[in-house]
Amino acid sequence: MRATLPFTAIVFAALTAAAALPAMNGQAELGWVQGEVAIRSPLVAPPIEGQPQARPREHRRAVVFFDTPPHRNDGLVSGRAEMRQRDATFDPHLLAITAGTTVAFPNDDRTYHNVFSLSKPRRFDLGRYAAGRSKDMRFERPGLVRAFCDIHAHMNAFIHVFDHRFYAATTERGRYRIDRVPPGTYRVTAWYEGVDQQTREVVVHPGAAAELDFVLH
Amino acid sequence: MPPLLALAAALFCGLAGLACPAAAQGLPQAPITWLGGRGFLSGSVSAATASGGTDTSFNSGDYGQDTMRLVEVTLAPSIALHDAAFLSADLRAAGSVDHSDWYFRPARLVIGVRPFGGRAFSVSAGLLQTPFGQAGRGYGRENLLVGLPLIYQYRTALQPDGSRGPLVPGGEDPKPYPYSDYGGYAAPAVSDSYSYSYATPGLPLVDTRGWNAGVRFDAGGDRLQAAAALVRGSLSNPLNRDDAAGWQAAGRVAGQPVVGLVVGVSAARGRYGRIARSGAPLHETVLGADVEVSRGYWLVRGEVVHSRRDAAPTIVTSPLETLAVTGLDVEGRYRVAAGLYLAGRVGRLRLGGAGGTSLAWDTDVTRFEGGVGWSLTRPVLVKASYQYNRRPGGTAREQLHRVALQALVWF
Repeated sequence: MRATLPFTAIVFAALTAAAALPAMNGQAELGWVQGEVAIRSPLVAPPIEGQPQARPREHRRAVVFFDTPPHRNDGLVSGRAEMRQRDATFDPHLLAITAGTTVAFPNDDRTYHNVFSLSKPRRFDLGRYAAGRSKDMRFERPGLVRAFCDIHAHMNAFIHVFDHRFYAATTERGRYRIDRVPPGTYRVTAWYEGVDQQTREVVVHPGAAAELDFVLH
Repeated sequence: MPPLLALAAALFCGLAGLACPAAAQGLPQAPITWLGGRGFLSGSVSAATASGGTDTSFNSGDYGQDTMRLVEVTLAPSIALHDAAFLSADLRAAGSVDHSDWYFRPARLVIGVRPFGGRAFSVSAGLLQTPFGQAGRGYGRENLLVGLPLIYQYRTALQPDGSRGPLVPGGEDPKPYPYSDYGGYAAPAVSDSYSYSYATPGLPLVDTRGWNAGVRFDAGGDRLQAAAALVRGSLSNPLNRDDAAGWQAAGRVAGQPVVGLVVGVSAARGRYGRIARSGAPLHETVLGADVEVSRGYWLVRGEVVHSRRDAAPTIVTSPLETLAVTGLDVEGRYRVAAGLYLAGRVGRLRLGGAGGTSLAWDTDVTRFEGGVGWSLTRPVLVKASYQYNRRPGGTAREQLHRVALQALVWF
């Protein structure tokens, strides 16, 4: 009886290692794309309606995505995301999600908000709802969805919906990283609101980073 | 911009949106910013047309134009001069779809300061909108239907000189009166005998589409807002220069006791004109209360306004008479689907007796309007409505049925 436990443990460890081996080999074959998106445009979010501000809030997050992903609908995680309504703005202003993701829109303000979109990939209207409440919307079709508030005309946001997992939103410093990319040559696009998007080609090598920077004007 | 060009531009954009939503998506979806975000520009182009020819009786608007057959272009630039100072304007050009009575004017042109930094208090001076009621809404996207609420549009028989139009049942629509070189309504030549010899549309209860020269104070937060103004001109007869009518004080306080409910009260008191021959000042006192309730896909607004205005007496040697009007407008909207809504409005003007008597000085008016609005994309809105007006006698028509269509592009 005493010998049974160590033996079982050894067998279990061996099986686990054997099972993990192909996956580890697969990981080793993958690379990743990373870089920086610099935005030279002076575009900023419009100030609060009717109240021009000398120092308006800036939105500097961009989206980088593969035009020619190695495969679609593979490894998609269509979970949940959140876009809050706070201080009469959408936070975050930009969201990048995979198709099938459900986005929650909580209202953190002490006034009514309304979230709606008339974009082709997803037309919806969540109606007016009060502070502390949240409503959900599921995004099935890929594309760019612009969200607005019916009550506060200056409130707007972007939701990029992808049918693949090869995309990333930049950090506020403009950095991005797209992981687990099979080796190959790809066309990659950087998008930022209100400016011309830029597409560049990148070669991904096994187990290595491919650096790809963008400058958007 | 010539009226036909503006009409063509609005209709083109609207039809482009109908034919190709993708093209309409390319229209500006938000105010245009410049100067690194210190300035922004919003605007709109709208064109409306209605059945039944030009109606300057029930739907007479600025300068006597038909508000349901109107082309309007607006531009609203704003610039932050400093953390605590800004310039703001609202420029409008409008004309009838079938007449050349085109005009251009600033509806607002102010310089403002926020003396206490981040606190929600500002002082603005210049040509500004008098704070009163729910009238901050404009002609275009804020208006649920094509026609305007009676309180803010319907021209009573009272003229800026205190005289009244004739009480003639039936008859033709009166001709639009000429506009003057200033921002208010042109007073027709006044006859010495007050014989009611002209049939021109007079003053509405409240006209906040016009502008007054003065100073305005705004304060408040999410739960409570207050605004007060001291202006030339008046609520019913906006003017940007001194016509010897004097100053008017106006104010509004609005609160939001619970989310989704806004309750407001307004008041204004001052001179709105003077009798041309004697120079006697004419005063008006206007009180208003309004409420807005919204929840989910519903929005309901109601407003009541009571106005008491001095008027020239029917006998020259008599003292001034007081003309009373009480107006009520209730409107609602229900969003059927994303971008599509149904709306309705009921309005009623009840005109009291003159000089404390039961002698009517004008006739009561009732209006119903129902319609639909459809946003093809966010900046392209098309509205269609049916409007019914009824007035038992008075200066012109007794009833009017209209079907109207409006295309609107805004950013």
